[in-house]
Amino acid sequence: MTKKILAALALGVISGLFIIPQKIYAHTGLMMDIGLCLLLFFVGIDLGSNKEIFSSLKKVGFKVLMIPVATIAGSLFGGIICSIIFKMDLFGSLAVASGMSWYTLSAIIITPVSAELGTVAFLTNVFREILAFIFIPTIAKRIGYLETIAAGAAISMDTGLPIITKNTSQELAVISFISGVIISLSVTVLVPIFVGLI
Amino acid sequence: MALRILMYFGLLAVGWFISSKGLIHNNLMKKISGIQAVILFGLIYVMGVRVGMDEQVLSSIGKIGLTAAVFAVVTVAFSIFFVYLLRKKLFSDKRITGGSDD
Repeated sequence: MTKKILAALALGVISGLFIIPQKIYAHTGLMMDIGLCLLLFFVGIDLGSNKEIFSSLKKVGFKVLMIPVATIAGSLFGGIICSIIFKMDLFGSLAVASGMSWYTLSAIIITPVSAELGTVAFLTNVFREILAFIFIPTIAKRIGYLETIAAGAAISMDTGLPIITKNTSQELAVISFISGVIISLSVTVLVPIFVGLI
Repeated sequence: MALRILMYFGLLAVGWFISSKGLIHNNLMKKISGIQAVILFGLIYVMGVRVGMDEQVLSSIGKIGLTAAVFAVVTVAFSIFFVYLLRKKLFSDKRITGGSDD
């Protein structure tokens, strides 16, 4: 599946660069929204066909809430490491790291403080989303299902959810959605906090 | 954002409800995986198109591309590592954990 995803993505980038006229760009957001809504509806249909999902999730309990916490903590730790690698301001680095795939929001909040840091945040989180798309099938197969949520981070509730569901289990779809919501909410809190500390 | 989350939740809930009530024809149920795959690859293609058309990405990729790439890899790697440690400590149900035991 990774190869197919990579091929679709590469084909898209090449089309965007050389084939499709720029005026189409304004409509691509709507196309993605429609596709995403359809996919989420079909994920719901998949979930409804399995009567055991909620009983198995009940057994796991509130422990699942630790998954977004660990995902966020891992990203922030990565931010600290990057601040050492690039000799950057610690809070600036943490602001970039706490974007967690939500590239539009993190860049919008950071850019007024530093245009360069805002661009780093934008590009970092674009790359993070692309990495998630490409590697979720491999992570599910080689490492574990829950780690796919860590890779997707904020997109685990929307664009990443269909890929996670397709490569893991139906139980994961519910956990992924909940985790994605929590991580997305944390982005709206963490990025402004770290930007305020720069 | 709240409206968006509600909409996603609503779509999942409506799909779950009609499917759990047996309102989806068997023939359609069999085709759902294929339909999902087509839409999914369409979505990834459009995402690629957006990246290819985005002037902000294109203009900054040469200058700060490497920094951003390192940031992306390091943050993803540590998120995965932290969840991996958590999974080993707290989770055992194979339907949820998947993956290997080592």
